[in-house]
Amino acid sequence: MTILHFDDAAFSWNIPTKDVVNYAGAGDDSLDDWFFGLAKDWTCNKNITCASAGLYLIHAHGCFTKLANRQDLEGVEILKHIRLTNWLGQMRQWHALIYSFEPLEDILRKKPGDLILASHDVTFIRLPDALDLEVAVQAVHEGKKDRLALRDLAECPDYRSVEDRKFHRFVACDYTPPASEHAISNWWGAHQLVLRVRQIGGDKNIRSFPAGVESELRKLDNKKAFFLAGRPRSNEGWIDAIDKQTIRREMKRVRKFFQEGTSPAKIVYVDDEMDKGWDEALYLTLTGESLPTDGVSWFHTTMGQLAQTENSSEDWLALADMILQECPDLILTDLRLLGSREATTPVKDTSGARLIESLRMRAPGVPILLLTASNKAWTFQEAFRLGVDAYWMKEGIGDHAAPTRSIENTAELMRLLGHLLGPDYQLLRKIHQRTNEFEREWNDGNPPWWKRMQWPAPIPDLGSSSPPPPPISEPNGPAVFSLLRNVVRTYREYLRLFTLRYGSQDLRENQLDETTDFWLRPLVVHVGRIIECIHCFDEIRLQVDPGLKAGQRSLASAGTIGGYPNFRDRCAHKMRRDWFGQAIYDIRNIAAHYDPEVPVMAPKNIRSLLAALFAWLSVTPACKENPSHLRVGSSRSRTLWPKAKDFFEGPDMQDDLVQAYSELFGSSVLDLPTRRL
Amino acid sequence: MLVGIIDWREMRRDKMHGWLSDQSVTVKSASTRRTFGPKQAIDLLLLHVGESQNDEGDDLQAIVNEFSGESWIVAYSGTVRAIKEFDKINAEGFVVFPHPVSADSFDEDFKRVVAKVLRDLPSRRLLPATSLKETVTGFDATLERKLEVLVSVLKRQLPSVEKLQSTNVVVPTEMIDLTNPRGSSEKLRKYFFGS
Repeated sequence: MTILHFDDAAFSWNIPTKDVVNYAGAGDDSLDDWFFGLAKDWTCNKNITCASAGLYLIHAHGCFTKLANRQDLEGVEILKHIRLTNWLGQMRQWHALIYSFEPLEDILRKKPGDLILASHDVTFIRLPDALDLEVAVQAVHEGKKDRLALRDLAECPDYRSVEDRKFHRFVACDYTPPASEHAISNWWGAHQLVLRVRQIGGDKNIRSFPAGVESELRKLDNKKAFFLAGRPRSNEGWIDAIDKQTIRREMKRVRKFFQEGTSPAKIVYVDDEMDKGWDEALYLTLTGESLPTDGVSWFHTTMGQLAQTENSSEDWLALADMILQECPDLILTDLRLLGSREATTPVKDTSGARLIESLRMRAPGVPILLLTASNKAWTFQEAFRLGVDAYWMKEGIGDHAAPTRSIENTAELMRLLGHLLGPDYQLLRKIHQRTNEFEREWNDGNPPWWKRMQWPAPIPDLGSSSPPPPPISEPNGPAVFSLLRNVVRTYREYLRLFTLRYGSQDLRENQLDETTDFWLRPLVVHVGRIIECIHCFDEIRLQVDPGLKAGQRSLASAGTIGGYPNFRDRCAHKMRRDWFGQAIYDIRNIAAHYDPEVPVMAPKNIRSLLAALFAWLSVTPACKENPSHLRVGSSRSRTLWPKAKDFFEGPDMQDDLVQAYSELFGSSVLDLPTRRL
Repeated sequence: MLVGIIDWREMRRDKMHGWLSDQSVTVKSASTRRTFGPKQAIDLLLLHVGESQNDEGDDLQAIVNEFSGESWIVAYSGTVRAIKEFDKINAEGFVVFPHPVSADSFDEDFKRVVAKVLRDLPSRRLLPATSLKETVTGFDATLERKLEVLVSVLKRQLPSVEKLQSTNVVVPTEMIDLTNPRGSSEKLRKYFFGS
């Protein structure tokens, strides 16, 4: 049996010394620092941790630090540390024997918080009679008992164990948690994130923890918090609780965006507590490496200094502009950028909320991930009202969570980052950016081709002698932009529910079923409406049927572009002489109608379609015959829903369209038909 | 961390100033409020209270009102009468050290109490208002001496006479027999704490 003996007075106990380790004082350290060091040593010392039984022998009135008084009862503080420190594993279950000159009742009257003295597995005895303990300890040492119950002593009235008295078993420690979990979670979350990322990724070549975390760990209150929420050092078992392969796959997916030789995704991270080590923790998460001291160009961090001093809406817009100048692929932001000043501020009025509002106003397409320590339902609710794409909770010390929650939380961050940097959200960002450019060009002197285009009017009946009507030009621009933005909104909502999994359990992108198909098809129909609008379909209808009133629908002219009586078959693909737009519209026709033979639509199909739409909006279609390869959707012998190559990989494909496609989306977003470039 | 001292007794003030400087805190000391200069963001103010300080021209109640709420104020005095008088003042973050402090030195007990207050200062915003009071007034000098005596006896040492005299602990010398420390401490314990 191992005995750890805490006493500065060095009374002679006459107990076997070979298994006794004496601790007399902390020297210049504080009690917490001293114990922190001891606990670390113990957890590395196999002689101690593997002991079959153990005893803490503690002088309650011991003075272990320089300026302590005997009535400070530092021995009891040590006992509290032992009981509260999870690091110590089975050592927490050792028997503790604490001795004092004062009666237990007097101590508890003065310090009710020391109720730990009355808990199980603690025996309280009075000095100097307690020196008789040598007999009991000797007996235990000789292996007469497996566990140090000290029953002999307990049975004696003078030294009766207090465990049968009517005290509550629960013992509170003197540690006063902060009024808000915010301060703790800001470094604790970073600590946990680094720990878990290392656990998942096995990144051995990095520093233990970011400097900010190390610095926070040295603070007394935080150290106590660390003790309270301490975790076993061997974490490998934890990961078995969830799918290890899934987490590693998510991690690989994220790191692919930052591998050497690729153009890394640009990230802006806004957090007032950056100095707590969050920048380093997130950089490690993204790349698996330590953040270089002079930073990297693609990982821009700001503490939102503008927000620290100013508080008007113009200033939030200025901060948003400053962030957007970096052209980020992803924005990470905290919710409370003013620290404790915002502890009680309603979520919608917090600095982060106002920044998100400003960002959404300026750049609705850029994905935003909110990183916050708040675990409140109303924060979650408000965050999505403000328009964030995803929400990730920094792990807090006060969270009542299952042990596996920590690693699951890290896996969740990986998953969110993987999606937000992935093709869906980057496509969303780019098509919204392109929509804004179209609008600017429309209002400036350099409008897109479809404003300048003079669409041929419907061909009159063959038998008619009347002259052909004048060409139609200038579609309804505001309507087109409104439709494009609504496509972005609808697509964003689809991604939120299916890809990021904020929808219910049955809304999962991985399950290619009728549900996904049901949500995607309306989007395709809306894409068709954009083409109808640009092709001035409403004007065609009026010309075909002049008696048609505004808002009234004509069945004769509904359907495929250019479809009108008598000429449908001949002119359907020719009258606009816009074979690419027509190909996209063919997809719309499939999506809009019921056909049991049509397979369900996949997310990659909608990506291809949107990419094709924006390539088409960017480049004037050549006026030539419909290329044979572009009969997408019309053949039963191939997949009905087109892939990118279905649009762009024909032998007679227009080179400038391929060029526009590659410039817009690049290989990072979609499979690029590289052999044409 | 900025600690202020207002105490007209120069020797005690200097000793306190020197000791506090060794504790890695910034110290500003003066004999009176007037010479202390403009009010700053003082974290802890050690304020000597008593008639003699009044005689130097300080309005102690005004000083307490001025610093209360923004700083922790630990008042001390050399006389029990002043301690009792100022203990009646009810101001936020104000507390009087309950034992007389020597006029010429920085007593060991007072030093320990100040050290504890300094330890709590960084987390001051998180601590309840009662915490300061408990830290400063919870110290029982008599109990401390009794415990020291018992520890000394068990270690076969005689307790320091000066220490015993300074706290007026009556220790019947016939109870101390260093050849039998266990027996002596048993008797003393019963004498001090009862059975």
